[in-house]
Amino acid sequence: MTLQNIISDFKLADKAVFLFSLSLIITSYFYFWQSTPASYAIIKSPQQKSLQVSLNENQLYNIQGALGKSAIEVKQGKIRFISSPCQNKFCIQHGWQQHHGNLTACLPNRISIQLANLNQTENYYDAINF
Amino acid sequence: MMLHRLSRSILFLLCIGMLSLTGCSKPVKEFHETVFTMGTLVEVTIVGEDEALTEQAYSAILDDFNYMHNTWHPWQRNALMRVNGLLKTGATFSIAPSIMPLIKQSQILSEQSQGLFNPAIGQLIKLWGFHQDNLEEIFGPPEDDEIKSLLKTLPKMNDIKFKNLSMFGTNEDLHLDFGGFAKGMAVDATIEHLKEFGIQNAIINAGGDLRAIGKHGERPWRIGIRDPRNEGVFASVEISGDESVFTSGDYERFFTSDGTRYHHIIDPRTGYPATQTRSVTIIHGEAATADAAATALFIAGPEQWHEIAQAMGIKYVMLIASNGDVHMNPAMAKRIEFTNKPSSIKLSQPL
Repeated sequence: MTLQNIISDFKLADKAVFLFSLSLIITSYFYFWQSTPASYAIIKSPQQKSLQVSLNENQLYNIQGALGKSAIEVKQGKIRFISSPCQNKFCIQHGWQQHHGNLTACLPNRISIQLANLNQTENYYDAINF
Repeated sequence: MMLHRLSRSILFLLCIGMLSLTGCSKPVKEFHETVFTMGTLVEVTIVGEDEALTEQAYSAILDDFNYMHNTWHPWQRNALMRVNGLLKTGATFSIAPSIMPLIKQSQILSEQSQGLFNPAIGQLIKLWGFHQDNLEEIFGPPEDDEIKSLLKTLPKMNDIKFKNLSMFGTNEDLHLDFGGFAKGMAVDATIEHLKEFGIQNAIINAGGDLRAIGKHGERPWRIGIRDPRNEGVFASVEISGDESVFTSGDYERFFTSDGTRYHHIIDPRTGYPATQTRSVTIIHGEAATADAAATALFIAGPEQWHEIAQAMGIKYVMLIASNGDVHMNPAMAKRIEFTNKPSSIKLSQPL
């Protein structure tokens, strides 16, 4: 019996159950597995006290690090490095970060940004290997 | 008849639904802290433990990290500098207890890797400028003559000899620079310390290389592996029990000179950065071994990695070659889940 035969044998009730179950699975998938937007970020530097910033307020932060000042921009729920006194500029290339659990850093300047959500304690990855 | 079929349909779909939702579980208490130490960003995650015990254990391993960083840094005034100074003289001197575990384990791993993992080439690493934390001071690659000159007397780990409670060196160009291997040793030491505190579920992630014990609540730990060429996660693995995941990549530390990129993983056979590989990911029990193997297999490249992995007792390897081909052993292939399936996957013989 082919898949086509099985589907053609479906009665109305079968189809209703199938569609209902499928929508339930899809809804559950998005509810449980998709990345959660972060609501705030913690900016750490050995040169100053940790800073907790809201991602809902557009702002520019100049953070003093080991080499100099890094400029960090918050805009529309996202955060990124826009300048840093490091050579390779990995931190800038890393671009916008917006999900709970994301971590970005300027290692030479020793500044890290950890994103989190006030209502979220789960994250898809427990750690990133690189 | 219709009801019978209806029941089967419901059962079938519910099974699929249940399977798709496995892994969803209630949130567990999680301690998460990030700190700069060992020249990198170290993330400590401890799950489901008593708060006071967690704080106490975290404080203890911070002390461990700082001690190891200060003791094992290859170019600072410390125990390793004393050992390096004395090894060059050829004189016999009393062994340094704080350095011994590094030397002993490195000798074994270096031998197994046919010298591809070689922490004795500190002078070569310094010549390239990769000994410093800040690569901004590198203005170009060294002269070829300088590299060839160091290769003539290429130091090896077995140039360090032991005699009772004393040791001596037999190569005046030998300079120990444990680099990332010290990070692996530090991760092992701190995980063991956490276990002594009774911590059962934790990850220590030192600059992207990690060892995890236990699991996250009722599910395994989920580890994302960075894409070596693009942003984001290339693949992921689940681990539980006690395993390390280490990756060596050409994107971690490098400088650019006249449009050419030079990365930090130096092939001891040529004196130049290894060219056949983008990254190597290893899963293994001990972090230090995983660390050394990731370096050795990176240098070995697509042709030789299988032989070196077998010699080092490694069971899970994924190597991304410079042309983008993904090489894996079958056991690793079973554990890896790709974000986007690569165009070319080359499965090796089992390890």
